[in-house]
Amino acid sequence: MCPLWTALALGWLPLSLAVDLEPQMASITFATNNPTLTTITLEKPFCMFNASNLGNVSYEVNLYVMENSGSVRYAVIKNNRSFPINSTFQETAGGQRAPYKAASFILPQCGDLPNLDEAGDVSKVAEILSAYLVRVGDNGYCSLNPNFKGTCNPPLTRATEYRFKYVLINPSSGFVEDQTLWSQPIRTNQISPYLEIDTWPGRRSGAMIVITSILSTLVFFLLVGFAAAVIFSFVSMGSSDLETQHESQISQEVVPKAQGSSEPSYSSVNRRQSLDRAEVYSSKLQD
Amino acid sequence: EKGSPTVVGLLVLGNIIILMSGLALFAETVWVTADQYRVYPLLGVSGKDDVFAGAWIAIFTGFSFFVVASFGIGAVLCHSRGMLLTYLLLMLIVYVFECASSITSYTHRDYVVSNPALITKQMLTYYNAPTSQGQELTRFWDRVMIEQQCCGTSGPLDWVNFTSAFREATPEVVFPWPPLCCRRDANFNPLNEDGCRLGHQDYLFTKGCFEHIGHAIDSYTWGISWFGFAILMWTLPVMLLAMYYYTIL
Repeated sequence: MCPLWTALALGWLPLSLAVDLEPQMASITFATNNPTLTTITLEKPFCMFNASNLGNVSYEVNLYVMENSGSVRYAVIKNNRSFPINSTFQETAGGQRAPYKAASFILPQCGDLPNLDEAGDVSKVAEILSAYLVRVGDNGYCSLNPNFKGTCNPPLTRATEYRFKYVLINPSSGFVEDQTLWSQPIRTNQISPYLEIDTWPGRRSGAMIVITSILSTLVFFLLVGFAAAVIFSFVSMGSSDLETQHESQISQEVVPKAQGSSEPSYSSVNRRQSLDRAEVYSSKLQD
Repeated sequence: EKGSPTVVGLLVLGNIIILMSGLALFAETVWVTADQYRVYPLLGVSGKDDVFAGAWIAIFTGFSFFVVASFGIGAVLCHSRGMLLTYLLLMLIVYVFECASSITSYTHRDYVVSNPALITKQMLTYYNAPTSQGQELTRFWDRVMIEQQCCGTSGPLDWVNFTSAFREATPEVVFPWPPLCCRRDANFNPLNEDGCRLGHQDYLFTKGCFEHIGHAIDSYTWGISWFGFAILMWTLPVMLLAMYYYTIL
């Protein structure tokens, strides 16, 4: 038991000197579009630094930004007298060579956190957003202005990975008091041309296939059925014509005996009359 | 055996159903062409408006079904071969047209709403573009985004992840998405412009409009294609029976 406890105690010892937390991206509820092409929105360091060290003094926090590269492990944010560095965006080529100071603000007190649920209230939203968020790359003008004094926070480069670090500054001595870890690399957004969107619908929907194939088949059946019906009726009409011809020949043989006439037109009229008569008879029979 | 009463009865019943559903199809496709959801510009701009072409054909065929089926009832009751042959011919023509309407409509629905890519691309190409098509589509999207409380096709990030005519005019730092994506108060002022620009969910419509558009086009297509399909399925046996009746007449 004893060695385990010592190991644990020793393990905690170095951590108590520096915070083992890292800057986080803001909640997606607050920033739907994060990271953007040129900005990354972070949460301010709420209760990240050990509260027991802090009195009522308002501490200052510096935010350092650096492009993600192999040298991030050796990146220093304080000089050898323990003062925080003040390098700017231009001096470090946008964080490529070394971290630069992107923002500096008063450490939010752990006691008075903004109530994030109240952000829906229009009268409070501006206050809550500024208390909760820090936008890296927000200031598009300071880098263009040669007379600009203070911390410049110019837009980041698109499609580039950045790392961030919060550093706590003691207000009375100006020394670096504490710092977070470097954050995980966060990549700025990349814009792609709309012409590259593939609009091919891909696989056809099942419904379309069902409708098309079934309907085509049905039309085919109908056409075949129609053709069959017409042909069949012609054939049967032809055969019935033959039958009626035979009948008429028979009746012609009979009729001249009765009426002494041999005109073919007359006989056909006669036949129609007899057919009509037959119809009348049959309908009477049905009744 | 001239026209057994069962066959005649079935034919009359079948044709009554056809003529009634023909009228219903007519009415429904009139509703479609009236375009209550007002999505026509969306289809018209990219030339995929044959969903509506299907509807116009179905107006014609719906009414034709009504007329021809009425005629068919007469033909069956008169036991007239000539009338029945005319009925069959006309019905066959109407049948083919109705098939065309059904298939066209559904095929073009697939082009437009089987995935959001086409509508997204079209939105990015034309929204804010200084052409007449651009104006038409800009009006369409403005109206839909306000009425449906949505933004972009799949969401506001459509405007951010792709270049667009809108992006050329408005850099992302100025406004990442059209200001009509911002939630507004009763007087139509944005609730909070900064919150909207940042993308806070209480100040920005985070839902995409594709659901609404897809729903509109789907309901049109259902009316034209599936209802037409159902009528055709019913018409087939009736016509086959009429053909049989024609052969025995």
